Amino acid sequence: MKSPHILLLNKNVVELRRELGSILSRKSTAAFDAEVRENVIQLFSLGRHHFDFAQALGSANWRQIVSRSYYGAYSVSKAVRLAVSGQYSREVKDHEKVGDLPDDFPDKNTYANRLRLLRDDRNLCDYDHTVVEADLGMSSTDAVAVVGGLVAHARGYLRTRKYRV
Amino acid sequence: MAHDVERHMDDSQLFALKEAFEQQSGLLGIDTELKQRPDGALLVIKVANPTERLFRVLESAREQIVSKSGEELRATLQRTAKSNPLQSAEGRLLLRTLSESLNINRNSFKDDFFARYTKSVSGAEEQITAAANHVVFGRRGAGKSSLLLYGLHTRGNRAHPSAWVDMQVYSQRTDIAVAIDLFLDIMSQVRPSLSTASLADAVVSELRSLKVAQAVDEAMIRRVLPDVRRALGGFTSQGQDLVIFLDDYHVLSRELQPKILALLYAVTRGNGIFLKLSAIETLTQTWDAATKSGLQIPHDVQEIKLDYNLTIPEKATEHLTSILDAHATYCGLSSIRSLCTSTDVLSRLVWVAAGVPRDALSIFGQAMTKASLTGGKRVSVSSINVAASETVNVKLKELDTDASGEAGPLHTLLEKLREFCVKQQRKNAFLIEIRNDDPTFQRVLNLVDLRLLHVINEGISVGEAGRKYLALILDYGFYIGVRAARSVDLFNKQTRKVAYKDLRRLPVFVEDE
Repeated sequence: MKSPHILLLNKNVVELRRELGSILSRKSTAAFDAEVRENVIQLFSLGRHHFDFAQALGSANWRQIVSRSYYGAYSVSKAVRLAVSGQYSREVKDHEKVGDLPDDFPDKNTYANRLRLLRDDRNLCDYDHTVVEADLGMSSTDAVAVVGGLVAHARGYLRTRKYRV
Repeated sequence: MAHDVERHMDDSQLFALKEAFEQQSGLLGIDTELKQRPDGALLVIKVANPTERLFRVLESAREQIVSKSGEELRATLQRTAKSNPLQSAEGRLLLRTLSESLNINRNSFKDDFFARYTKSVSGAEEQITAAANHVVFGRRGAGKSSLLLYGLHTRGNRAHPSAWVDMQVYSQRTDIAVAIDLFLDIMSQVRPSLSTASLADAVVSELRSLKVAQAVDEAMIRRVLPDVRRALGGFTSQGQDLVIFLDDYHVLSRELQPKILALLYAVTRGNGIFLKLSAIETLTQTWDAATKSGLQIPHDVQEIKLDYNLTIPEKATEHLTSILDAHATYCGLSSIRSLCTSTDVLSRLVWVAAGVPRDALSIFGQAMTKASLTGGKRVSVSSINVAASETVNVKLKELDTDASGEAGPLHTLLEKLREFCVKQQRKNAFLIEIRNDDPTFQRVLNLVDLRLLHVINEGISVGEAGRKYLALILDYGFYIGVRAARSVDLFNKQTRKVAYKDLRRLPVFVEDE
């Protein structure tokens, strides 16, 4: 990410917006909001790009399917979390929050469980040369199905909040 | 596989997690597998249909165990087809769930009420939540109490005050003092939400004095009504309304029904308080024309009719299937169909239950038990038939309790109808002329409410102009299953839309003197 960038402030943008609300002019506030919205859209788009790539792979590439599906899910999750709670982080620990979707997100508990498992599977696929597909918590086909569902739900969820994704 | 988990699960936390999941989901003895991965163990719980509810339970159980041990636990649900659905944890939970659903009350299902509730096809839910007086009519088991509970829980979710009275406690009462007990019950339920608590306490004390007085009459009760009205009117000043739900109102003696409603209405009318009643129509009198007292339909109270029956079989099938599917999904099954040997099972269920939801739940539950006992893995048409045959005994008992004063003539008429259908005509369907002044016709309507007869057409002309007939079938329990009668022609057993020409061919029943 190139500096200067609003997300490099490493602040919760919802909280930042609240604090700056009384200082910024209406025009500046609108510019701030537009910048955040654009980042939500770009994050969602990045996630979809990873996922489209995963979907196009043949089943022999199960490691890549799982890995790219996970990154698709992670970016989509980041987009939703940024849009709703203003959270954005570049820390490694942020991966632990991949399933921390808002309370009103469809099938929130299903995704919390499945995405946590997908993250563990992704680590095995990327770093463990001894692992076979049967060791995974879900097959690469299931991974695509789970992330496909997440992308569709996130699209609907963000659209109801006027994001053009 | 469950044994494998217990044997190999050296991590006691994972075993604790499995137990917590079983307890919270109700899926006792669910199949599990412990998967050993390079990064540690993964508990895989094998469910026929892993739903959001089950994932929520798993996440909650996981948090509970993790917070105790501080260890990160890995567990998930996996969709797995069950070779013997009836004996699976999901099938056993469904059996318990169906049993619990038969006697629904204000405490049934608690937080899961809306997940288990199936909306009516007529939009009755919008009416029951509206600010107006309503009486919900329907046969036993039609879903009257469920609809009232929908209203109660909807209000509860919005933190709006309500009072719920199960009228069974006043069954067969003929004394006007029922009104005092009702007001006391209502006051005790709403007092915590009232800002005018001291006024409410004074009214309760006044009512208690009246309750212990000898020979209470209507005039004495009417003297305290202004105080009751003022106390309950406190909700209006708090910017709220109050709804009083009276479940199974018909169990009060018939003469008393309009009198009690008149006393309630004196307190509620124009006071931000609404009445919602459930009752069996032919056993209910809301208005006494002679004394002009009670609640007059539709001026003072609007009707909501839950008359799912066999006049529109496809609607009945759709509704009953939705209700059973809601329970099946709750229990981790993909659908109710997954427990049946063929699609004919649900068609037959709709007919033997005559579109009545509670009968369908009861018969299906019994059919599950019958099928299991004979080694079946799924419910078949014959297990439905046997269960339906046994259900008729329950209905005959209900005839004695619901219509105690008129049980004798109803039994006699029912016997004549059985003779007419099964022995003389060898058909399970018949016609009777619609004559509201005819006691036989009125008794037929009573038998319809008691689900011993079922309407298949509400008005058909046969021959002479101006004469209308009701088309009915005798309850299946009288001639199928253990009571199987030879050569009875079963009318429309495939649950298709009924043709008028077929209805007109049915024999006409006329009661002999």
